[in-house]
Amino acid sequence: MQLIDLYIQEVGRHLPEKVRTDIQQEIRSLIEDTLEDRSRQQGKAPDDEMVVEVLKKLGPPEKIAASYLPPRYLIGPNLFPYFITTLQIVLPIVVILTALSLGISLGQTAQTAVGAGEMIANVVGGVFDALFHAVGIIVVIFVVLQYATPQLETRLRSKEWDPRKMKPGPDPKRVKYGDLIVDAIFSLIAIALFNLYPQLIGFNAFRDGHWVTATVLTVAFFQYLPWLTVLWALQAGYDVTLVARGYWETATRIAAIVLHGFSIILLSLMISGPSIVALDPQALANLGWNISNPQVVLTAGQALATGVRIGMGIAIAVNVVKLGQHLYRLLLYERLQIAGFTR
Amino acid sequence: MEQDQHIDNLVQELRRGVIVLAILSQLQEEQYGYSAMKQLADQGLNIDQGTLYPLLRRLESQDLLESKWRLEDSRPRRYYVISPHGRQVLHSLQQEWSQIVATMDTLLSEQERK
Repeated sequence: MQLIDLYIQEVGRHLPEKVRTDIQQEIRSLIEDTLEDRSRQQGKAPDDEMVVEVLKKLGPPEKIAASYLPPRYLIGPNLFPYFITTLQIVLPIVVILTALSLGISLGQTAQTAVGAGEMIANVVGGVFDALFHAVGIIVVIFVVLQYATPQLETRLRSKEWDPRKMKPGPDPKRVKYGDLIVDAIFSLIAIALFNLYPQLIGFNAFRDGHWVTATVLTVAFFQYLPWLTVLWALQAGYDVTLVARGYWETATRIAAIVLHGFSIILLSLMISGPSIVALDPQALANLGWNISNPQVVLTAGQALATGVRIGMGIAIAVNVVKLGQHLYRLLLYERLQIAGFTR
Repeated sequence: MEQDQHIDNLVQELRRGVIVLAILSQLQEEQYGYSAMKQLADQGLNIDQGTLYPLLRRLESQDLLESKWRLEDSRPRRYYVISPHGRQVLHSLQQEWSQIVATMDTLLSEQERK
């Protein structure tokens, strides 16, 4: 009979203290009744073998204990849709804000950064760190709501629902034509501007019957220009293709990921290399400007270079976010949709 | 084999829906858990021990049953009996059950005729 005591004890370990003794007593009574019945049927006194049979039929202690308890959730089924909605709202905001702040700070310090790879790793690592923190905090909030305010769940369950209040959601697979057309136009303008008229990116003056130019673009920029041109051309071609197709497909998602990856690598190289912009006091003097203190111009040039690096840092952050969005849509979204986690 | 399991699950689900009604109907007089289970089994409704005992407690917490411990042959047993509120609920459930049976009879006989 020692087995019965062990079994009862083990069941008790899985029960709340408040009801433990009562349920343990009831299970003991059930076991003894069953044994008594079997003993009568088999015409012999209960033995260990009979006890084993009865306990086996009852099942593992944790299972029988669980059958006495209401279903326990970290976040209950009524709160769960609100939990998912909160994640869908908060997480993109966290990603954007973190990526932006990291991009800006890295943009400012890129001159001393060890390399582009380390910088990307810092941005991505920082974003994931912030994401895990945000998910953790949201989970804790919902767990507290679940346990501290059980009446909230009841209220949510009984909330009056009106089918007329339903709104059609946007089709996530449909492309946004406006964004793509603007993107394609800007890519083509960039190709033309930087390849054909780079002198326009700077200061110009009409002197002695002809235009004099002081470009702010450095030699370093023109080393990157062929790659930038390839990127803009691919971007424009991609935008036009997507507009023509009208819907997101696996191939276009992969192409978007490749393009964003290409942009991140190129921008990282540019941000961590020599400055792509600078102000030349001599070139500005040639415009007819009165440069009494060249140091002021050089300082202004450094400020401009820092501003451009910050801009590139922000661009990297935006690309990281967009790449993440495409990965999510490609790998997770449809699975979550099938599981009913997203609309 | 998988098909059999599937049918078995559906049958269990069907039975689960009538367990409360069955238990309330059998506890007009005091009974301890095991005897109620035997009585239901003798009449063709087998209920697993792990289902019946927690359900009895749940019905008691819903004021549908009343219970008290009693010492019999130096062994404590918990006896359950239907409460006044449980009788009202049983009456409503019986009416609902009669309607369900009538509706299902109609539906199934229509299906047989096709």
